[in-house]
Amino acid sequence: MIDREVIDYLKSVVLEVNDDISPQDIQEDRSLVGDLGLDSLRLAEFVSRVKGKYGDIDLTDWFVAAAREGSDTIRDLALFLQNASGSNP
Amino acid sequence: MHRPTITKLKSSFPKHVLTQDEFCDAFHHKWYSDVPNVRELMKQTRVEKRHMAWDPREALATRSPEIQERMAVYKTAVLDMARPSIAGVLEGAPVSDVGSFVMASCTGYFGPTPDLMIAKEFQLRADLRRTFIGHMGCFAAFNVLKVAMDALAARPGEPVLANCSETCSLHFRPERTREQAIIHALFGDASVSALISNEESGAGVQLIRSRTEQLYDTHDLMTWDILADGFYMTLSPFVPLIIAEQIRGFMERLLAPEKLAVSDIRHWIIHPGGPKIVRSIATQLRLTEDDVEPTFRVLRERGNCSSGTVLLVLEDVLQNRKPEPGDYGVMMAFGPGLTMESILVRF
Repeated sequence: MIDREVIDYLKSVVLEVNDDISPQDIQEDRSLVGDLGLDSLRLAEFVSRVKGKYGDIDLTDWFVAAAREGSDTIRDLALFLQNASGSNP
Repeated sequence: MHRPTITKLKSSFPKHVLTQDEFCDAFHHKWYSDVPNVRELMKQTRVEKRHMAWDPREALATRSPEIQERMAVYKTAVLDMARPSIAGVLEGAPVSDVGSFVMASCTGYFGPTPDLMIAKEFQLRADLRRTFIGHMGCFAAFNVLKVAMDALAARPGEPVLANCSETCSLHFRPERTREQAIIHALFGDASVSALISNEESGAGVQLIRSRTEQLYDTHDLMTWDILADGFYMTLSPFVPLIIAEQIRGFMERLLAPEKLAVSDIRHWIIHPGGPKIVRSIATQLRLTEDDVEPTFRVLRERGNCSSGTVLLVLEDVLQNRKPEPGDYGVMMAFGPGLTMESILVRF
């Protein structure tokens, strides 16, 4: 089961790095790059903040999957973080 | 101990110079009017000026020239641009001893390849071993240097002439996307030549060890294809993130065989692919502002000139940081593949 706290945290980070978007537009199944306005600069800042919270988790596998169209959603990242940190085996 | 050593290094540039403001002023309304905040976006590349083989304000004023026209410009421009840097490293050198010439360029095609025309012009030996490396992208200086290292292992007494020449500006095309606006704001043109021979320490920049790694699952995240009106680059915004995630392990695998650690490296010669990737690498390797200043200085003053850029950074380190004999440095660059390249050097 997906952890709502993780979802809400990731939504809040999207809002922090993209002030052009309104909270109601941030849906967990929308693409970070394609729908939520994270260009390369904002995406780097988003990831920097997420890594600041989740520390040593290697995100390479998620980056590779997320680079394919439509796979870079908040939901996908939340599931990856949960699995990688062992909170939702 | 004799090692392959860069004994001479020289850069040269085409005559047209555009500041980022001049470029943006010229193309903001023409190409990027649909891209929000494009002027700020271009400033974020940190490029302040670039040399270009043609003036895009004239060449692209009314149309996007076909590939045939662009390649015709390349055919002349690549030789005009390379000539001073080649002459610079051959000046006073035993030209008849040069046994190999290896050249990289991914921004144009014609045959016989440019290295043949240069060898002819500079009257290099008729039995010269020539290698032309095309289309490998921003990391191709490493392919050049590795060919030189192999040549010097096989024929220790024959110096190698090396060159990287790129005319990235010939491939600017009208396309109203943020991705292309960033690419157009980032790339410039340059030629860098080096003379490499087996020398004792203290004679130049010794090439100690190289390491290459390919991330095969990422092959479609950075591409360089040929269209009817120019070469076309794509770059996933995830590329810098992937490389940053891999960089510490990559560096450890380069340095461990020499019993060195990241903290032993005094000089960082990092390809300025873009500000974010340099920042991310610096964070991962815990580098200081001073460590990455040569990279950012080249980015500001030259832009990303593809294959030769890492050699521009090396030239900057030699001129401005003046390394002490025995200092270690690491050269690194990245590109399509994704491919990560590095060489451990000793000054």
